[in-house]
Order: sequence, then structure tokens, then C-alpha cells
Amino acid sequence: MAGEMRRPVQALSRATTILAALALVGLFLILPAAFVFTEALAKGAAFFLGSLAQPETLAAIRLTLIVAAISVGANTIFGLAAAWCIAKFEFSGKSALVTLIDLPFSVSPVIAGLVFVLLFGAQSWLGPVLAGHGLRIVFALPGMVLATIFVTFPFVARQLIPLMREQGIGEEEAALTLGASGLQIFWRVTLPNIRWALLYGVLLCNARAMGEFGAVSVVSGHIPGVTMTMPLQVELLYNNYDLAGAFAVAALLALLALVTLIAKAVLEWRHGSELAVDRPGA
Amino acid sequence: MSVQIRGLTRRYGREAALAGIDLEVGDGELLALLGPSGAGKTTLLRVIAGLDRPDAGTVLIDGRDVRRLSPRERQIGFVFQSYALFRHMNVARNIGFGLSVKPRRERPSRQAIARRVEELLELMQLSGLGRRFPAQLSGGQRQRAALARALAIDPKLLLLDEPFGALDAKVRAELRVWLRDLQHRLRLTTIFVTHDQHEAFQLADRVAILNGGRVERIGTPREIRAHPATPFLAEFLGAADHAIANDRAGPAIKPCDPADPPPECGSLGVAPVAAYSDNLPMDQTVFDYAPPRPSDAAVPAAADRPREPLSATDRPVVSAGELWVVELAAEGLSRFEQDALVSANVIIYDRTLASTVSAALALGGYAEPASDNSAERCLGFVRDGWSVVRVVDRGVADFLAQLRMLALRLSAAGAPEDLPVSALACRGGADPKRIETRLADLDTLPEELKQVGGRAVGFAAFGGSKAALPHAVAFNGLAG
Repeated sequence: MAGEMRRPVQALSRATTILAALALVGLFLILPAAFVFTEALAKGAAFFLGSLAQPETLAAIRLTLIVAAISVGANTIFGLAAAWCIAKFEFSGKSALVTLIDLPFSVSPVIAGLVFVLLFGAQSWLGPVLAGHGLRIVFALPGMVLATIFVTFPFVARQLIPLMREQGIGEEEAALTLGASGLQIFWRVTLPNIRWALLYGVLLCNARAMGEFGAVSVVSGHIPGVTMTMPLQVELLYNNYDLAGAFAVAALLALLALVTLIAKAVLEWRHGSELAVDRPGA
Repeated sequence: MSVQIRGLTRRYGREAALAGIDLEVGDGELLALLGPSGAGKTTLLRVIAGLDRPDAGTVLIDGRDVRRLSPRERQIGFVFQSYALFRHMNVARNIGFGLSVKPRRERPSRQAIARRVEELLELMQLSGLGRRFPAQLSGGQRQRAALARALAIDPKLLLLDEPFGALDAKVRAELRVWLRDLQHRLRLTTIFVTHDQHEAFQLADRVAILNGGRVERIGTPREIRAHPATPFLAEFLGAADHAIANDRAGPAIKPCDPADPPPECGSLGVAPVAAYSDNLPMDQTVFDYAPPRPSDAAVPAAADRPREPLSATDRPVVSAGELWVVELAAEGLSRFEQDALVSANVIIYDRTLASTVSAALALGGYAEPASDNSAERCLGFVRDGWSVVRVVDRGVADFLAQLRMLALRLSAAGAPEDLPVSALACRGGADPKRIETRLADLDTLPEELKQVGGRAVGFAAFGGSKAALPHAVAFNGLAG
């Protein structure tokens, strides 16, 4: 009797749970995204494209792409190097390094930005020296790139460390005894083994780099057309009561996020076994 | 390629993994590094390969100090315990890797690399598997692929770290024999690490026993077994290996001196040293034993054969130029089987019997698993004046089927009509009922043997009980 009773009860509770989850996802994820797109297109596609074609907005898009390209590139190299060190070598202070890599996750982006202002700003001792050589860090591209790199640093490394650790150094040692040089080992053994995980990390890193607001906001100085990235531009337009313009840029950002998400899903579907740590059959 | 190791020391913190190792490995020698885990075996191998740096001491390869050479300059083939095959490359590209990373001036052409890969695939019995990925191979195949990859660079020295450690017992026994043969054929100086003393004694020309980072003892298997010089050794050697008699020197296969090959050295370049023990079960049996020796000019007629049980000292001795087909008994080697195996130069065995035969291998000379062309191989060995025993699967039906198959293949391979082929099937055991059914099986054997081209000479031995006698007598009567 109890068993028969339990089954419908279980089914009911399962349905309730699923419904609750779906409702939450709909309310907090799908609804806002849909809202962004409907608002952006509320006045028609022509108006949407027109808002994006504003010179300041175009400049913001360009700047975002530049900042993302540099910081993702840098973090790919840093992440690879860090993961390589941590996974393939034994040295003292290794666990401290692992903790440090996670630091950007735990530090508020605003504080991260502030650190760069304090370090390179006009009030710091380093800023005037650099300014004397014609180098502007804060309120210019270099500062924004530095802040973005800081915030997005863990993404690539985090993705690679567990995989490379699990793979060990056996294949690299085998390649070494077979006469391969360091570069040959990297390009022909190490990189192919981690390529999908690396791409996955790069995608995540890129999504975050394009969407970063807090740290970039602090170091940017909000100079329209010069140091405004897309997230900053959204805020500026919104504060200027240009709602349609704000939503147009926001929709573009959301679209980038969606593309990343789809690429990520495709990767997981095609190469899921090479992204995870425990890989069957290997 | 010879190796001299002098005063090699390697410390990890306070632990000394190597505490002053002195070792010499001769050209073409197969040396086993044997010892309990933590003895420093793998560390020693890694230091020789250059994957680990010694704190003190030197490694001389052909008299040249290799301390300053990086692993990639040493040209040493290294087979890792986990094989470390490149998981994203197929087998062919794995094997060709060492050639494809050579500097452009020395790099062979794409076609030349492909040819070499094909050769190695064939040598390693991996033909047709070149396009598979490592994850799609069995353990034994991976092991052979890793070996092929190491051999592709024409190494001067081959290092194997627990080459059979990750394989199950059956595959291990097969690969061991295969590797021993390969090593002797290539005459490649080889050092392998193992913690399995049976493996070490079976394979190696010399065995170095390591303990606590030192060489406890080095010598031929026979020397070490005969005089375990230290208490550690006596304990270490005594702890295992009751599978085969323990008072016997280990099986020894000596590579022949190619400049001056002794007469018993056949095409394999291996001189068999047979040694065996009587400490096996079934020595309390009554045998009816009537060996029709095909080499004897006057084989007595069946009626003239001795009818009374013979003493156990009458052993089937396989003479030069004979081919025997032996069926292994289920309960382990019988006395007769042992004798047949011991007196053979070559044992060809069925794959399914690898684990049983691994014990038999220790008794005989050279052994190899049966393959599609084993009839040709048998014939080749016989023509070279070797005595060959082909061990077949147990069960009379199987035995007969294999005999017939072998006969067909032999005549296809051009065997002479009067090639002496003997068949040995042993029947015994303690359970009278089982013996009864098995003997009944056997009654049909002689007729079958006659059908095998008239070349086979029936031959049976019985163990266990006197109830076997009438069957045996009848069998031998028919077989003649």
C-alpha cells in the first residue's frame, strides 16, 4: 500500500520541483533576456540599427572588441603558462599560486579597478613617472586592458589545471625521449591534448571580458567615444534617458553572450569527454 | 651498446632513491632490474634516460659520459609503465612521431616514415591497427605500440619500465616470450624494470636485484638462485615462486655468439638450456609407456611392445628433427608432458594455453605462440634440426581437430611424407570417473591419428590409476 501511495507522491513532488526550476529560470534568465531584445526592437529594426550606428556607440563596440582581444589573448598565454607550471612541475609555493589564481574571483571587480588607479593614477608615484614618458595607464586603454586581464585571469587557467594535472607528464616525457624539442612537444603533444578545454576557457574568458563593468568602470574615466566600452555605454545611455539606445547596445552584448553560450554548448556536446577530468577509455 | 653506471646517487629530500649504484650492462644484453617497490628501479631507469638528474655519479654509454646530454640527444628507447602513448594520435602517427620530429636535415621523407611505421606494425604484430587510437587498443596492443614507437628511432639502448605490469597474466606470459625473442633478434641492449622475479629470471640474461637504492646482487639467474648471498635476497627470492620448483636454476636462454654459433643454435640464434624438476604432482603414478620412436629403424610391432607398466624413468624424449603434438592435461603438467617439453628445443603453443604454458616455458628452450603460419614455422624448425613440440588445447576433440588442421597445413607447406610427427595426449588424475570418460575419448584417437596423412605416430601416456592400463594397451596397439 505504502509503495503504491509513494509513487504518485514522488511523481507529484518531482513535477513540482521541475516546474519550480523552470519558473525560476524563466523569471530570472529568459524573461530579462527576452525583455532586452523586445525593448531593443520595440521601435523597429531600423531604429535599432540606427542606435548602434551612433559614433559613440560604434567607438564603444570597437573598444570592447580591442580590450577583449588583447586581454583574452594575454590570458590564454598566462593561463596556459600557469596551468603548465602547476600541472607539470613540482615546486614550493605551488598551492599558494593556485590560490592566487582564484583571487580575481573573490575580489570585487571595483576594488580591482581601484588598485590600478592607486597604482598608476596621478596620485601614485608610478603614474607621473610613466606620464613623463608619455604613457597613460589609467583613464586609457592600457588601464582598461589591465583591469580586464585581472578580472578574467582565472578562466583559462581554471579550465586547464585539472585536465593537465590528470593527463600528467607521461606523454611529454615520452616525446622528449623520442627526440622532440620543447616547442615540438608543446605544439604536437601538449596543445592537442588540451585544445578543447582551452577553447572552452577562452570562450568563457571572452564572454566575461566583453561584459566586464566594475573594474573597467573605475579605470576608464568615462570619456565618451574614447574610453567607453559597451557595458559602460549602456549605463551612460540609460542615465541619459536614451532607453532605446541603451537596450540596443545591451541586446548586442546579450547576443554576444548567447553566441558564446551556443559555442560552449556545441563544444560540450562534441568534445565533452575531453573537457572533463575523468575521461572514459583513456 | 654498453652501459656503465658508476656511483649513481639520487636523493629526494632526505630519502636516497639511489644510494651509489654501480652497474655494467654488456652489448646486446638483457638485464632485469628486480626489487621490491621503492628499491629505486624506476629512478635508475629514469636517470639513465635523462628524465631525472643524479646528484652524483656517472652514466657512460659506450664509454661516453651522457650527463650533459638531454634525453632527446641520448637516443634511448623508453617504454613507460603506463605506455604514455599520445592519445590524440593514431597508432601509426604515434610510432612515426620520433622520426617526424627530427631536424629537417635528418628527417626521413613522409613516404620513408610511412614505410618504417608499416614495418614496425608488422614486427609488433599490429598490422592493420595503424589507424586506431590508443584508447581503441587492448592492453597488450598498447604495450606493443609503445614498444614500436620506442624502436622507431633506432635506439641504441632500450629501457622498459614494468613492461608487463598493467597486463593480465595470460597476455603477460605471451608478451614475455615474444619480447625475449624480439630482443634477441634485434640484439638490442635492454634494461627492464620488474618486481616480478619469475619474469626477471625467465627473460633476462642477468638480473640485478636492487634494495634500498643499492645493487644487492647481480648475476645470471642461475648464479643468483644457487647462491642468494644475503639474508634479504634469500627472503626476497624465497617469498614467491613456488609455481615451478624452487630448487632449480631459473630457465636460462643464452644468446649465441654470432661469430661462433654452437651447433645447437638454430635460426633463432638462441641456444636452449633445459633444466627441470621432478617436484611436480603426479609422480606417484603408474605409467604405461610405449614410445614408438620414429627415428628408430626397427619400431617393434604392437604385439611385441612391453605390456607391463614401465618405470617413470622412461621418458618421452623428443629427438632432433621431430615434431610432436602434445595435449596439455587439465591438472597441470604430467610427468610425460614435462619430459616432452623439456627435451624440446622449440615449443609452439596455442594462445588459449598461455598461462599453462608459461610454466612449461621455463622447462623448455624457445617458445612462441601458435599463429596462422605456425605449421610453416614448425616445419622450418624441424628442417633446421630442431625438435619441436606443439602444444594444443585440451580436450580430445580439439586435440584431434588441431592435429588434422596441422597435418593439412604441413602438407600445404611441403612437409615430406615421412616427417616424424608424434602426438602425445596425457590422461590422468585422481578421480576415477573422470579418468574413465577421458579414456573412452582416447579410444578413438589412434584411428583419427591414422587419418592424419599416415604420418602421425600415436602415443599415449596414462597417469593416476591401474584402471587406465587396459585402455593404454589398447591404444598403443592401435596406434602402432
